[in-house]
Amino acid sequence: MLKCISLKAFSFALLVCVTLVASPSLQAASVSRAQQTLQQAASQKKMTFIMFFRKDDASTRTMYKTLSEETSQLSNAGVVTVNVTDQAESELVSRFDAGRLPLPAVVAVAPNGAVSGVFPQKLKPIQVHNAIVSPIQAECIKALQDKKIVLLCAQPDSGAYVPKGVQEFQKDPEFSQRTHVVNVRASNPAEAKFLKLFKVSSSVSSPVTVFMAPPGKLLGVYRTDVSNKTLTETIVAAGACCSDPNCKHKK
Amino acid sequence: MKPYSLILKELWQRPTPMLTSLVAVTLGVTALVAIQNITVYSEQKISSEMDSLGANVLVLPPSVSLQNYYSADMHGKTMPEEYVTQLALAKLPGVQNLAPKLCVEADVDSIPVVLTGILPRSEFEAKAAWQGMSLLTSSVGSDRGCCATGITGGDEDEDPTALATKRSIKDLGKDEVILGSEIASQLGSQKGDKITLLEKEFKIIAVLPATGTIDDGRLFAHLHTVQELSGSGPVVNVIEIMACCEDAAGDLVGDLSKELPDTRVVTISQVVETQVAVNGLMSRLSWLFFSILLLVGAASIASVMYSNVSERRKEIGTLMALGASPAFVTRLFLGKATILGFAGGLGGFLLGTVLAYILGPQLLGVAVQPMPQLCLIGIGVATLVAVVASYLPARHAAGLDPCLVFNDA
Repeated sequence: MLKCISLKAFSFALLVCVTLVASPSLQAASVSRAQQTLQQAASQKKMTFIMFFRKDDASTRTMYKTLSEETSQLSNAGVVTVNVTDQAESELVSRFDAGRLPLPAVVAVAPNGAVSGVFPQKLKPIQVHNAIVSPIQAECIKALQDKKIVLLCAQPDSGAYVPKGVQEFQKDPEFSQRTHVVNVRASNPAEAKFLKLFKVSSSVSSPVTVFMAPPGKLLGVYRTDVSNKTLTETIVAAGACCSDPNCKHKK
Repeated sequence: MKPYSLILKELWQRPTPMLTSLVAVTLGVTALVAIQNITVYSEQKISSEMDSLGANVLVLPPSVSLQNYYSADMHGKTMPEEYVTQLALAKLPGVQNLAPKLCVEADVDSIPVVLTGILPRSEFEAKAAWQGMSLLTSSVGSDRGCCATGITGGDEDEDPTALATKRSIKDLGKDEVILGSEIASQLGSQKGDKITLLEKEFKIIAVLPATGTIDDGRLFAHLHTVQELSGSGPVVNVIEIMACCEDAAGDLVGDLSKELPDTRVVTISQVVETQVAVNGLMSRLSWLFFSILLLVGAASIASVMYSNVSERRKEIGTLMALGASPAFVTRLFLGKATILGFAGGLGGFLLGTVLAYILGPQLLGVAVQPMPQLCLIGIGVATLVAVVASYLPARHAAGLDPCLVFNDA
C-alpha cells in the first residue's frame, strides 16, 4: 500500500517536473499541452479533469492521488495538470479563472466543453464519478452555461414528436434566440442516470418535457403535452422573460 | 318605549358610574393599539433598513476591527480573492449575493480619490453555471436555503445606480467606472464623460444618487481592473454578503466562519436581533396590559351593573309590572354593556392610534399609520368582555319579582 502511494506521489512529482520543464518549449506553440489534451479528449468523446495547482504540496498530491485513482478506473476520462503560474497555460487559466480559485482545484470538462463540476481544495471519489456526464446531459449543461433556456424532450421509442407548445415557444421572438431544444430517447441506457434526475421513466408513452433555465434551475417537468402559454407563464414567473422591459409577456 | 331609548336615557342620567368602567376598557384597548402599532411599524422599518443596507454580513481579514460598516474596506489589509470563489461554490444557505471590494488610493487631475474595485454579479453567475447539474437535482420550485434560486439570462438591464441601494451591480465593464455623487460634483464629471485613473482611461457609466454615506466620495470600477492597475494581485479588503433571511442572524455566521476560518465574520444581525427581541417583548407586553386592563374593566362593569340593578329595582319592577318580559330586561342591560364595550373599543383605538402617531417618531423614529385590523380586534374584544361581565347582573335583574320589589318599597 505504502509502495503504491509512494509510486503515485513520485509519478505526480515527475509529471510536475515534466510540466515545468516542457513549458518553455510549449510557449512557442499556439496550443498548449493542456489544451491539446482537451482537444484530444473532445475528439475521443472523453471527459477531461483539469487539475489546477500552484504549489506541489501535500494537498495537491492528495488531490492528484484521488483523481488519478478514480479516473484510472474509467475508460472515458483523462487527467491533465496545470500549474496556474505556467505562462504557456495562461489562456486556460484565464478561461477557468483558475488564478482566483481556491487551489488545488479540479475542473471537470465534458467533450463538448461544458463544465460539469468544480471541486476546490478537496476532492472526494464520488465527486469524480458524479462529474462524468452523458452526451445529452453535457449538451444541456453547455446550453445552460451559454445562458440558454433548455427544453429537453424525452421521447418514446415510437411516435416521437416535439410537443406543439415547445415548438411555439421556440418560435416566439422573445425566446427563439436563447432557447435550446434537446431530444432524447427515454429508453437510451446512456441517458438513464440523467433522466432519472427528473423521474422520467424509460418507457414513456408520450414525450415528457423538462424545462430548465440558466444557471441550472429546473422550472418544470411536464408529462403531458405542455402548452406554449404554460411555458411562457413559467419563465415569466421565474423572472427571465426577456431583456425588453416592455415585453408583451410581462403585461 | 324602545329598549334603545331607555339605555341612552339611563346612560345620560347616570354617566359617572359607567365612565370609570369605560375608562378601564378604553385604556386597555389604547395600550394594545398604541404598542402593537409602534411594534409593527418598527419591524417594518428594521426590515426596510436591512433591505437598504443590503449586505448584512462582512467577511474581513482577521486583524481588522470594524469602526464603520460603510468603510469596512478602508483598513488597508487584504485577503485572497479565492475566498470569494470558495463562498460562491460553497452554496451556503441564506447567501443571496456576494460583493467583494478592494479599496485603493488614486488621483484624478491631482485630486486624491478612493477607487473601489467591485465584482459584478455576472461573474458569480458564470461560476454558478459550472455547477448547473448539481443545482438541477433539487425538486421543481424548491429553493436553496431561504433564497429563491434565481435564474439568469433574461432580466432587463439593471440601472448601474442600483449599486447605491443594492450594494452590488449586475454588469460592469473592465473600462467602466461609477462615481459617487459627491466626487462627481467635485470632479465636475457626469455620465458619459471619460476620466483617467491609475494611467487608464475609464468611461463614466453612472453617477450614484447621494446616500449620505462614505460611498458618496468613491469611484467604483471592476475589481480585476483595480487589482491589475494597483498591482495588488488577486486580493480583496472585504467581502460583503447579502443574506436573504434570518439565517444572517443565525447559522450563516457559523457556516461562514467554518468555511473561511482565517477571516473575521462581522454581522449586524445582533443589532437586528436585539431590536426584534425588544419588539417581541413590547408586543407581548401590550397583550398583557390589554388583558389586565380589560379584566379591571370587566370587574368594574360587573360591579357597576350590580349596583345599577340594586338602585333601579323599583324601575325594573315597574317595567315588569307594566308587562316587560325578563328577556326585555336582560336586553336592556346587555345592550348597555354592548354600547359601553363598543365605545371603549372605538375610543381606545382612536386614542391608541393618536398616541402611536405621536410617540412612534419620537421614541423610535418610526412613522406610524392607522391599522384598521386593530380597530376590529379592540372593539370586538372590548364588547365581548363588557357583555360577559354584565351577563350575571342582567340575569339577576331579569329574575326580579315585581310584587316583592314593591313590598320591599
